[in-house]
Amino acid sequence: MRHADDIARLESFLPAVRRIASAYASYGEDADLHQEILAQLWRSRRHFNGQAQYSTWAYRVALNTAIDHVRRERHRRETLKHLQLVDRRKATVETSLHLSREAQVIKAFCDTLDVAERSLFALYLEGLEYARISEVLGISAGASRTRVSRLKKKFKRHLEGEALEH
Amino acid sequence: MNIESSRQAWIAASEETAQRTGFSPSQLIRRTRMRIASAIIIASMAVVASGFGMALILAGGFDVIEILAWCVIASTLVALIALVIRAHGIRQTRHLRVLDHVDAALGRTIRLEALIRNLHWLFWSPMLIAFLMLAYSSEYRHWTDYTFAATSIGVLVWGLIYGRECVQARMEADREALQEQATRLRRIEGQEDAS
Repeated sequence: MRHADDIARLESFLPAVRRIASAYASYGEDADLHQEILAQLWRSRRHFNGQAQYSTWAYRVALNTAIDHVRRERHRRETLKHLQLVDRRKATVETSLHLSREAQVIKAFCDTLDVAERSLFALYLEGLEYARISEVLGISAGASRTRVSRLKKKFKRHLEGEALEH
Repeated sequence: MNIESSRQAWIAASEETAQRTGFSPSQLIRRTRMRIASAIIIASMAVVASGFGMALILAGGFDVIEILAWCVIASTLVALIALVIRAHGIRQTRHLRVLDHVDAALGRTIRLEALIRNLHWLFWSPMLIAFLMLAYSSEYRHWTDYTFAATSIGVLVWGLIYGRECVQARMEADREALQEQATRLRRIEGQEDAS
């Protein structure tokens, strides 16, 4: 019964995992990151003690796994560059998440952000309140509010720029 | 195109993909269990192999110096593994808040970096002493044996030095990246105070 509950909870969080993987991974690598986050959520399930909501806890695991993935990928690329080897995965330009034009603009904007900003923006996209964003990231709710509103302004400018281009 | 409509489009894209591709929990669970099972099998094989090795050494009529040398090698390796586990820690941190996880990862990297920096005291010195003890008690006296031994040790030392350099460079880059992440997260807090 417990096993079935764990699976049901994981399944309910599946779309969010996919979005976080797409926000962090490069094109063609989001399926790998998606799997990695799911495996990590499954392995860490015993650490969930019910003090916070399941989704808050799951967002923490997902973001931490994604941030570690980005760091590892950067090392891997630098090593390949150092060894003068070609990164074969670069050849793949498709993503497992079929993005509409509007969603593609979000993905492009995410790629311009650093890790901390991307975490905030990803949680804002998920529709989390500032108190929960601060619970996931470990910063104050006031700081989350200030930074998210700056990111929204930045995103608005990005959207305007995109509209001018097309 | 405004912020909210883009956000809705982003959410809709993932819902649609999740429905289309499906999700196989049994496959995920099987894969996780396979990883744990292979780690247990490899560790068990290493323990059994080292047990056989020790039994062979003891049954093979080795003299006291050789047995002591092998004991030094075995205890150095065990101590090194224990130190790496202690520096790395066995507690998972991915379920912690992002800032706490970054801090924990940074602490882990700093401890591992210090361990690698002091590797010559922890690893090279006892290993060198053990090899000298083995060479002293060796029964082989032919020049080909010496050439073979010198070449093997040379290749081993070169490999370990190169490997250490690579690991150290990786650790350094990792520490810098983690410091940058922690600083950026803390800067968000600082900017709020300033505003």
